[in-house]
Amino acid sequence: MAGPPFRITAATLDVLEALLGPDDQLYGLKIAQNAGRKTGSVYPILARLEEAGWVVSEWELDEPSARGPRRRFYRLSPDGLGGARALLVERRGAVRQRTSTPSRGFAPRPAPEWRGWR
Amino acid sequence: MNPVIAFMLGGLLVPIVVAECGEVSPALAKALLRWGARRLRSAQKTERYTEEWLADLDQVPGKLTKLLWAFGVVFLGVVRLREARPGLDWTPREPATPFATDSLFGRGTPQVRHRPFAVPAPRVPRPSPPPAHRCTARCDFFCSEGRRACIPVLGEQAPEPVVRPQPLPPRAGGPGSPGSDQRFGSPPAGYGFQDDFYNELLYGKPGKAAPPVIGL
Repeated sequence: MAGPPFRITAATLDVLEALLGPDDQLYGLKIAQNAGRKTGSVYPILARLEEAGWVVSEWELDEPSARGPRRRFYRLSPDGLGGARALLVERRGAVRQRTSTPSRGFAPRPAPEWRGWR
Repeated sequence: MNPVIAFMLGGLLVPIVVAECGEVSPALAKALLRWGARRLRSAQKTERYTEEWLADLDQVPGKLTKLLWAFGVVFLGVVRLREARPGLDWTPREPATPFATDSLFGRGTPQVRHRPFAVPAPRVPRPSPPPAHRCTARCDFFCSEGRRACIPVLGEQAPEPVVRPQPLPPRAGGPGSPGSDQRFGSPPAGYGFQDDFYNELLYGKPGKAAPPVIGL
């Protein structure tokens, strides 16, 4: 099976996980918050995914004159949906749900092998 | 400066500066995002990301935070999002301004002005001539057949007689001859005896007019 036509990094996997979330209106800032990455590094990843056909984007349609600049919403294409799930299962074992801001800073993170108290 | 006055000035100036920066920060952030979008080297990308980033900037809370967020977007995103610089075009073209051949005496001739760039042709190795002549011991240094002048060889010639050097007769006063001084080896060239050499060193050369002194 041929790999995806873009470079896969940990940030790319985080963005794909954020795009797989249940939220419908995902724009750059929100995707960066859900992925726990810097916004400046998320925009190039979204551009690469869009160029590869995994992500489609469209302008905001609600009240374009009232709110000034329009936001651009991103969502996974049908090809990208299957590819992202397969890629995440292959690389991380499962698809995690990223709907809120992940813990950052000094918040402790569990070790990768830790599977809870027994 | 009086510390009280310094404290008053600091207490007034610092809040004013901070408040002013807070008011200016959103405008600075917008200007920074517009500047970064213009660095993308593509009009389509510039238009798209200017609107997208400005819309996302509205969602960022705070005032100084907006400016920091804009800095992050510009310095992290612009370098990766912008189009690659087009490579150099090496196709030869006529010069737009034929300044090279114009002079004080007028413009250059069209033939010269529209001469294309001199692109050196790839070098083809020159084929070597067939070996028609092989220089032998009879060929001298200027044989032309093998790029030297050659003495024409007509028929078989008798070999030239080999002249062997004859041994020179022993010099008078040389090593082994009667009268030579064995202590100092052979005298220098031009001196029959070792003593003559040292006498000249001590007393100088004898005058030519003086007759040789024999038997002292």
